[in-house]
Amino acid sequence: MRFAYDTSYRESRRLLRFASDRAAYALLAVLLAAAPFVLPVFYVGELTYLFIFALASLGLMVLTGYTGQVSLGHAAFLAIGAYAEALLLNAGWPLPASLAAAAALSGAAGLAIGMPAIRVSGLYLAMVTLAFAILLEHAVGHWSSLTGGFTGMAVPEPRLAGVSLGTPTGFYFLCLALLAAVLLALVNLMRGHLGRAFVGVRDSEAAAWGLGIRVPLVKVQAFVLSAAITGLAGALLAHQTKYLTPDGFGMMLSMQLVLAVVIGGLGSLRGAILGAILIGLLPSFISHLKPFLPDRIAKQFGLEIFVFGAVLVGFVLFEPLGLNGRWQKLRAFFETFPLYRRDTFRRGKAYMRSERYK
Amino acid sequence: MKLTHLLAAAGLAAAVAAPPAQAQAARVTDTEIVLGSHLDLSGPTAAGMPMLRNAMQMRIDEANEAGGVHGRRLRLVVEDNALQPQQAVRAVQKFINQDRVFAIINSFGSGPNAAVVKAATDAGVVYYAPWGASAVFRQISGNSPLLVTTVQNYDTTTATGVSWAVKNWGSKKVGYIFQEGPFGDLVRRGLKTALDAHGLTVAAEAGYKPGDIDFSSQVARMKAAGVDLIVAATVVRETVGVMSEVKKLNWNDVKVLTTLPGRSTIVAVLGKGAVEGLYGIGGWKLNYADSAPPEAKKVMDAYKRKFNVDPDENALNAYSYTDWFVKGLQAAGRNLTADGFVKALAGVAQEDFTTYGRMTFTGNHAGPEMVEIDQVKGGRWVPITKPMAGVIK
Repeated sequence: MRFAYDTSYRESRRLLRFASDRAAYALLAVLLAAAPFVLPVFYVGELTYLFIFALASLGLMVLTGYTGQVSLGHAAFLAIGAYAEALLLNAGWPLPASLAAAAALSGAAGLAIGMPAIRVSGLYLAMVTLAFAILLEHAVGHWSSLTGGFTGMAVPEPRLAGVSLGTPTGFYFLCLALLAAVLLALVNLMRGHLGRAFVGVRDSEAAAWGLGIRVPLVKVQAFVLSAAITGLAGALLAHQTKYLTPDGFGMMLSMQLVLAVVIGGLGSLRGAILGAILIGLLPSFISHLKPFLPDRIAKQFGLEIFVFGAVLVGFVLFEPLGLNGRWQKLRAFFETFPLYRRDTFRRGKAYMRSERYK
Repeated sequence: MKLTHLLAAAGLAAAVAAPPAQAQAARVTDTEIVLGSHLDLSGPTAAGMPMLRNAMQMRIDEANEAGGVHGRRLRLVVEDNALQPQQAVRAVQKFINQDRVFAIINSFGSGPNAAVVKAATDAGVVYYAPWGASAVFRQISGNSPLLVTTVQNYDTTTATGVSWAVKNWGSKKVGYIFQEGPFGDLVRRGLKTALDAHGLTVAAEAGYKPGDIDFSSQVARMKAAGVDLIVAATVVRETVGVMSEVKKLNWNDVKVLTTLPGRSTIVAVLGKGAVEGLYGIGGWKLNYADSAPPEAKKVMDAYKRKFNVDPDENALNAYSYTDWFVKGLQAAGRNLTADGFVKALAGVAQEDFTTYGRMTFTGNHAGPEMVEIDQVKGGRWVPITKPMAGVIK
């Protein structure tokens, strides 16, 4: 077991408190930096896709995992980010400006949808966000003069200071850098005032009000932040797809994001990334698994959807804390061996009863 | 952490500075030609995909049993695109970088094909017979010489069919029911061409969204406008829906003409009495088990033996397209390159049980785009015209 032995106040505020943590993350950073030079180019592309998906998943995690607001329409923010990026680059904006503007536009859309949406919660909020996504998909399809309609539009190559980032390696590092930057910003934000307010709103609105948190304001802030991050992911997705059509931003994508955050573990940034990796790799995994399955099952259509559903049900039943919860338990098991106690992770939530004031 | 940041920055700089190391190695080995195809194995149209995959596999197996093509065996790799562009991009990245395919053939879906056609042709891969709006793919690929399309364009075929109908039926008021999206847009373009040629305009228009099941409002709008011909840019279920609504209103003095994908065997089978009398613009020959010509029968029987189901028209089309592709490979000779293949293919004509005549490639698109008008009689499509092409005045 490890115990913190702090010799100054600064030490307790460090992101990585232990040498072993620092070594592990340094190793990860080296591995990720070396990956595109070692791996075949196909896997570099797959990793890049996972980074983008993880970024979108982080966006939804802020809203759903931290603030407790369900959204079934996050594909809409991806679409806004993607189309904004393509249009702005076409208009001659430089890449950093277009990426920032794509995130900002998406955030503005989050503000517009968040203001009315926070007045409802739970199932009704899910319906509002779902309706927003469907509306936006149709708007994108019919606004042909701007978006190219259902025929779609091409996305210009990303270039930074005259250098093309459209190569697999260049784009890999662009996505990795943005993911790392957003993750670092969120880690800090989530342990600060705003992040704690998010969690307060999620766990008990009444208690949050009681502590002087302006619940509607916090919810809108969560919406905007979440939409902006997802919009940034959308801008990257535009470069990854290279060609945009409205059918790329349908229900299925929103569902995959929801699955990623739920399976990853609500209320943890690590969970968002683990979930995105699992959900992002599942289709490839199934396609690799197919040759080993009996023919009758392998050729069944809808196998992928069935596996998605089965994985979700499995997690809800056996590991409600998601991949992150499993990770923490594993870690605790090895750290405290042989003194591991299962009840360590049992969570008492009796104060939730205070919600009954309604 | 500082060191790792430095390393990462160095890596980034190196990556950006290094020239793209994409030396185009030959995509064909001495013993094998790999072909890729991305189909919708898990999305909304997954039910129809086994037909395409099986038919391709069957023609490829036949080629291999005959000793391969110039000593090389063919291998087909099928990936899932879930009808999502992002998934198609991943599948095609795998084809290009991992499987090192020579060509991507018979891939399915307008969105998925649109998203990948440029990337594939830019990588030097032949993109053959994508299923969807051919003219759109051509535009997106920047008119790439490596893109070869076989699926008839919706606009030109509609122009031929509708202009024939207006001329021969003397239609005065034409209404248009369409699926919103690229399909409806393209058909409308053809409809306009045909009506312009006869000095008419569209009298009434009504759109529906994919997935709609009720067509009463669309048909009512046609009825209110008093049209005598409804052109329906509809797929399977929607064609049946529109026709049943017309029958329900006892509206007898109107003709309903459905465009390319609406004129399929499944419509006549599913619609039963409701679609009796429906007209359709056909872009390929339909083969029925009891009346098919011997060469079609042979393929249909072989398919049934191999996969234990009867092939549908999509299977036969996929077989025909793959057949044409294999003939192109044979014509290209042992020294196989992407450019050489496309050139050789341009010299190979195709005439079989699915085509309305002798087809050749002009500008990498199969033509002439012949159509015929069929009518549903007794649960199957019966031709009422000879195959024809161009706008009919």
